[in-house]
Amino acid sequence: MAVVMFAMAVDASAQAAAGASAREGHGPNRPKLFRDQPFYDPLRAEEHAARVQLLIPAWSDEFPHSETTGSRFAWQITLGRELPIVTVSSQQLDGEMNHGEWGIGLWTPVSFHMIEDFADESNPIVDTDYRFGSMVKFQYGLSDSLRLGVRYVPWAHESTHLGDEYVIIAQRSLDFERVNVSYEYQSYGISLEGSGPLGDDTFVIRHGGLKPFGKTGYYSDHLLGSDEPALTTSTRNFEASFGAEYRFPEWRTRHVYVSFELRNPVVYNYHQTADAPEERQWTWNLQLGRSAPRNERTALKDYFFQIHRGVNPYGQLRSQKDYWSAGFGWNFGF
Amino acid sequence: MADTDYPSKLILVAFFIQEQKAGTKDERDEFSQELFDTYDALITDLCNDATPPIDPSAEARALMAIMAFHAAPSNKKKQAEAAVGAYLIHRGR
Repeated sequence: MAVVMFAMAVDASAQAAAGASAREGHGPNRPKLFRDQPFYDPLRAEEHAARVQLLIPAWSDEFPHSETTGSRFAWQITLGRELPIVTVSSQQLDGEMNHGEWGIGLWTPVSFHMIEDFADESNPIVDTDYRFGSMVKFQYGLSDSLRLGVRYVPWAHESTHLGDEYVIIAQRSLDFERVNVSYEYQSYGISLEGSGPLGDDTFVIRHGGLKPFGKTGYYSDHLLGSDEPALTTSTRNFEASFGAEYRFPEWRTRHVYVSFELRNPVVYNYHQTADAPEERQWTWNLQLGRSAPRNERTALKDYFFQIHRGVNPYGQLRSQKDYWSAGFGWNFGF
Repeated sequence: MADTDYPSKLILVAFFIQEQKAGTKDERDEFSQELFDTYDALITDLCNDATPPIDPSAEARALMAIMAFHAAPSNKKKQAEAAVGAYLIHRGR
């Protein structure tokens, strides 16, 4: 609510100045409320981005407390969106920034990420992660074919929850612990994107970083339902990421694309010792698919095949390394 | 860059489609200039390359620029190609 009131206040205060600044060509124009702009769209291969995505049919490595062994059918659903609050730009035309033009805006990303296992008894929801926060995105037109983007998340929260049926099964093993993976964080991203050498192709190159607030890192030092410290907290509390995406020229109404994200997350270790210290594992996510042109009026924006390899991306299961999942995905936009 | 010569009534249509209001004259003038800077040279080149070449009026170029702005392709040249293609069909080519 505060964000909305802030946006409306910015809008009101800029009304009088809008006409004069517009004449100057590159001054800020009237703020636009609740209108999306493509200042820093999530990389298609970005894990846990706020969008509407189904991964089905899909398969997964077994989970740490699965009763049945081996790979399994496991679909993944992401429901979310980066909700636009207010944008200000030197450019009247909506869309990407042309040469010398800039745009900045405030968004609220909200998303849910779920994975369901179809191998164990009663097809348990394995985990659901919830994310929300605030996000500032900026774009500057370095030329008509090259843009610089910046994304800064000053505050966001992630809350993760194992499914109750998964927990019921997991409790049958003596070593199961219910860890409260829940944290606030900030993150940044830098993006260089533009047109490729073939004219109708596009590229994106990215770097980002995520850091949780607070000394306890990503999770509490006590188990859920207990106040007694029983866990060693995470200490390597910064996660770097690198990404790249290339869209080939349009072919039969869509672009073939390849999108890749590489992260260096910590493998959660709830009982660190000198012999078993906390470690990291390079984790990658690869998508190969077809994407609709930006203004195409279709709800199905992308369809793709995805492979994830490295640390399990879901909640307390981030203690699992060498995890894999793969499947066919569908991105929707409205 | 040259100054826009797009007719103001067509710019009003384009501005209204985006903003759902008329805006001020300054806002529409800036909108017109940006539309011109983004697409006009591409449209003129494509019209010169047509068989036979055509020399569209300011009104026709503005129409094509507005269509290009709303065309599906992600690339501006492809947007202009789609718009000029549509215009040529309209002209019976």
